[in-house]
Amino acid sequence: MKSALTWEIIAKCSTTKARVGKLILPHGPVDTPVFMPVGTQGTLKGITPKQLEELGCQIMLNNTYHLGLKPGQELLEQIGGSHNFQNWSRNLLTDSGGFQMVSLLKLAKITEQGVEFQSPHDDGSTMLLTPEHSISLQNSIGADIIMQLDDVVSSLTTGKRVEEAMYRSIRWLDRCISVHKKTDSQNLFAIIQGGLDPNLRKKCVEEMVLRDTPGYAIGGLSGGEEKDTFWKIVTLCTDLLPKSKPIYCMGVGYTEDLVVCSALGVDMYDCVFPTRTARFGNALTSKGSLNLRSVKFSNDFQPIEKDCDCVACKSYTRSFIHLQATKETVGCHLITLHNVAYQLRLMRNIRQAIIEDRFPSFVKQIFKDLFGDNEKYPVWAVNALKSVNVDLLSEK
Amino acid sequence: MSGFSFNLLKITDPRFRLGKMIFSRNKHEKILDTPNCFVNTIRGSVPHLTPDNLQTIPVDAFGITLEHFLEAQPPSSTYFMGGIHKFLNLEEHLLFFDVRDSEKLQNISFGTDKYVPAVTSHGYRKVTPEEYIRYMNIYNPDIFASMTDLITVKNPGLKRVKKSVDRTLNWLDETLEQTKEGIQVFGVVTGYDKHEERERSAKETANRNVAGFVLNGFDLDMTSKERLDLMKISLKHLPRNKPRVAYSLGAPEYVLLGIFEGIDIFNTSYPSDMTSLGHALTFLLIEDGIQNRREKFINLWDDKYQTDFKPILDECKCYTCQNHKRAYIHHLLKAHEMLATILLMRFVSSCLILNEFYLQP
Repeated sequence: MKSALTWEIIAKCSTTKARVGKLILPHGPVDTPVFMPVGTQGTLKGITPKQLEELGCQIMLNNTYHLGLKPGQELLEQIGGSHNFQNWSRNLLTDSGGFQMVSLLKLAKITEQGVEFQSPHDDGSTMLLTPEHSISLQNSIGADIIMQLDDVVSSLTTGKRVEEAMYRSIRWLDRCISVHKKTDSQNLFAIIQGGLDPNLRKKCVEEMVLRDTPGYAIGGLSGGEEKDTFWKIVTLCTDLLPKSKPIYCMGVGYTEDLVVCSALGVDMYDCVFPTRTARFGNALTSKGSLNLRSVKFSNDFQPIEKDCDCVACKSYTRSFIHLQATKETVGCHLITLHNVAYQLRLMRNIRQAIIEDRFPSFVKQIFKDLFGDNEKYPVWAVNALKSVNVDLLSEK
Repeated sequence: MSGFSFNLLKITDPRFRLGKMIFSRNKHEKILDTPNCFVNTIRGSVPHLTPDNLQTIPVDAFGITLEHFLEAQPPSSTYFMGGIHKFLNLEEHLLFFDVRDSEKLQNISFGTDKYVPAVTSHGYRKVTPEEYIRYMNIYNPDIFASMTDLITVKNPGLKRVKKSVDRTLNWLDETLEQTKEGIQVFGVVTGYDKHEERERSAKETANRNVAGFVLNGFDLDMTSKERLDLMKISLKHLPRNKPRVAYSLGAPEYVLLGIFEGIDIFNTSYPSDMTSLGHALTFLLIEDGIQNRREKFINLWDDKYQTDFKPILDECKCYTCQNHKRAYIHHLLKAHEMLATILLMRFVSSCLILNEFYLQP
């Protein structure tokens, strides 16, 4: 399939499966592993595009479902796409709209044709999101990377439904490919399904790789499944997928998850967590999350995180932000700016550690800072890292 | 060494004043050209604006309300060793303090001769003049308004108004005695709708060694015109050589009228009020007043802006107009996205401030 990107591996970890890559997309370069913040409705909540650029963000997400409703396909066509609409000159990735369908709407019924759901306009009518319509919407939005419409099942589902969804996702991938009009400016990624069943996952990878899309995503995870199963599926997929293409694990955003999945060979991530938790007053730091609404911060005159160079940390103390948190929008914006800075800095540090081939000791330090006592380290993480030759519990 | 001076520039038209307020502290000088405005903050922050968004807006001074800091008493920020400018990250600006926000005064229990009531999200507080002065001495703002007895019942009788004038004057005397050097105290002229009390309050306050005057003491329901008419009575008895601050005259036509009456500074929430309604100011000041051809503002909620791909104002150089279109802001408002308020705030603030300077000859 025609690709509108190039991806080059520039460094590999000699211990784990981690790698650093340089992705070149129509709207500029992206260093991987990369965390992509989520700007659902054509804006990262509370942040101007200029601020996002200054934070070093190279790619962010928009949601097809939301933009399809507001401002709608017609307006996006008129204005020439979401980049122009929100004045973001760097890269965008859109998901297919499928996940929102299933998670947000009542009576979403999945058929071979597509996802049938009750129209959000409250008039009792039903709407149908088909692979063709999803691609058409994504073509209008104009993101640099677009996702196939997949048949998403909850990771907690078992039985025949999982297999049905996996095969149907392959058929829907083919339908997406056949209607995708803008292969020179938009890269269609396939999404590997198959639930928590290694055999189904294997089969899915085999088939989807034949379609030769510019990149692949690992879908159907981060839905509440056992973490110890989660990592095994991730590592299976990264083993099986072609090494020369970027691999995107959808819905991953916690610090420990980003670090572990990078060790397992994942290159791209997205998650609403850092920006959403900011709006609830929680700031992310290398020592864990701080709930800045708590009264214990009222006389705390340190910045959120020492050595953080974001606007919040350079201008204000925890005490000031505590005063604003959840009461004034500025509190939300400051913590959001800090959390995005934190995530992007984490990824930069991951990349640097891989380049300098000190990733295992970097990983150990991350866990030490985050959890303190190694008795508190999550068992799944210890297991996952052991599978790539990193003994989290040893001192060295 | 610290000092303060207010100089009126010589101009031929006696109706209005152009002035320069100079504050100097530790060899550092800050200048405020008048007419000008104090932009109101909430809990010490400019609504919706982080420092990087604020820095491109040409505002020189902010109004801060003590009540917003009183969840803990004394406020936790009084334990900060660096003063209020540093705590709020507004070291390059002038800060003006008052106890309560007169524009959004809540009807609560009554004060006494000894304290003023304040409302916080954790309940009532009482603030005595001694506490207020103590906090100001720690915070070290550039100016503060001395404690005012604000009446929150409607149509107060003459006796109640007289009491409010007396209390305010007594508290002013206490303040002038105890305030640290380098912090300017402005006396508050009150009197509500009682003309003789307005006169008395003005004359008595003028007798004190204050650095300037604040015109306050109005019924919450009063229109801007009613307030201005009452201010005129007070202004007749205030010396010309000291600055006068008016509260709640933020709308552009009243700023103009107020300037013609001899007001130097307007304390206002007008930018954030307009922003929360989704209104973008589109008027321009020209030689004879407000340009009539244009509307005063546009309401970006209106669906007619859905496909309007122009910036709010073509000639405006603010971030919002240089980077975004009306259609995008309309979308953000409809999608209840916070970026809408940020973009509007930057625009509205820029507009209001820049327009203040149109009158400079």
